[in-house]
Amino acid sequence: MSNTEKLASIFTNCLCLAPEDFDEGLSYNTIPEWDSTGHMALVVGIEKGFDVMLDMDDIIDMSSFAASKAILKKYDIEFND
Amino acid sequence: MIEQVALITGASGGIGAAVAKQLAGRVSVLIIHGRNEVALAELEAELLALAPALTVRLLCFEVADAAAVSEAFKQIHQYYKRLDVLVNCAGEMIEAPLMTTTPAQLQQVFSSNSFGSFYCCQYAARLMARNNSGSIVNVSSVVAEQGAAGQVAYSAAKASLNGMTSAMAKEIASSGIRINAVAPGFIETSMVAHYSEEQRHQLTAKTALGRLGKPDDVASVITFLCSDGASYITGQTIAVDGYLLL
Repeated sequence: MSNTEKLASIFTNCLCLAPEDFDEGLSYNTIPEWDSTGHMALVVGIEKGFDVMLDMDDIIDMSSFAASKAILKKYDIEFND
Repeated sequence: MIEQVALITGASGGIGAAVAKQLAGRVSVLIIHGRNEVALAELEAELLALAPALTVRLLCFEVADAAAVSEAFKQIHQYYKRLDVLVNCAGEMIEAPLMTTTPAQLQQVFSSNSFGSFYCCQYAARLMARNNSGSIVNVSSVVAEQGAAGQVAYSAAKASLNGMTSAMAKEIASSGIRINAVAPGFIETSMVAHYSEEQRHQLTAKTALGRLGKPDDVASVITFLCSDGASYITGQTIAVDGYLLL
């Protein structure tokens, strides 16, 4: 599983999405599942899944799937696809 | 004993040290925080005498400094990957009447008592949520509810802890984390060592149980709140004051 797939799986699980409801253009507050509660679950899932502890600014900036990938790169998580 | 990691802020203070000693035989890793490395090292020696198998880690940082708290929790994550118990004992009492409380004093008392606990709760909740379990206890004060003349800023800062505890409990319950507060009355610690005999006598007279509290009186309740025995208790502020009416 690539890190993109892993991240997508975390998004799907933490936001309780059906697989067909996930797409890489997902962003905060554009679906009911990604509200403030969902965001907390997502942060925990990403931190646990990638074994990192994010800075507070990054948690606030993590407003889309694409932004999440960009932020994780700062923590030496590689996305080659 | 299951692998459990506990952090106590303000561990070198009277209540913090009592909590550390009571938790020593109940967790596998005890992280003791304070600002005085010598006092922490002395406490470490006492803890290891009580529980030789215990792993003790000393952390010195300023709880009111968000960046320092972040760094401390990154260390906890790096070493242990988990946190099961947080007890926020760090705090500071500044006595000043309303008319003469300076902005700097107000800032200081909120920074140490309220903001510091807030920052620690933020990071602790993230580590605890990974395992869908955890317990946090904030150390408030009887003055949060009743107020005390000459302690307006301190009363306000401690009252903010009570509100924080209630609100956080609602937010983090779904992550399996419980958070409660204790509100000690007059407890014999260094924080009140400067009180005169007359002041002590007056406070004892206002306490239904007719004596001043000991750090262990408070630590027992905190230890209980951290335990599985309190698994259905969250969002509460529990008075440990001998029924002190100010």
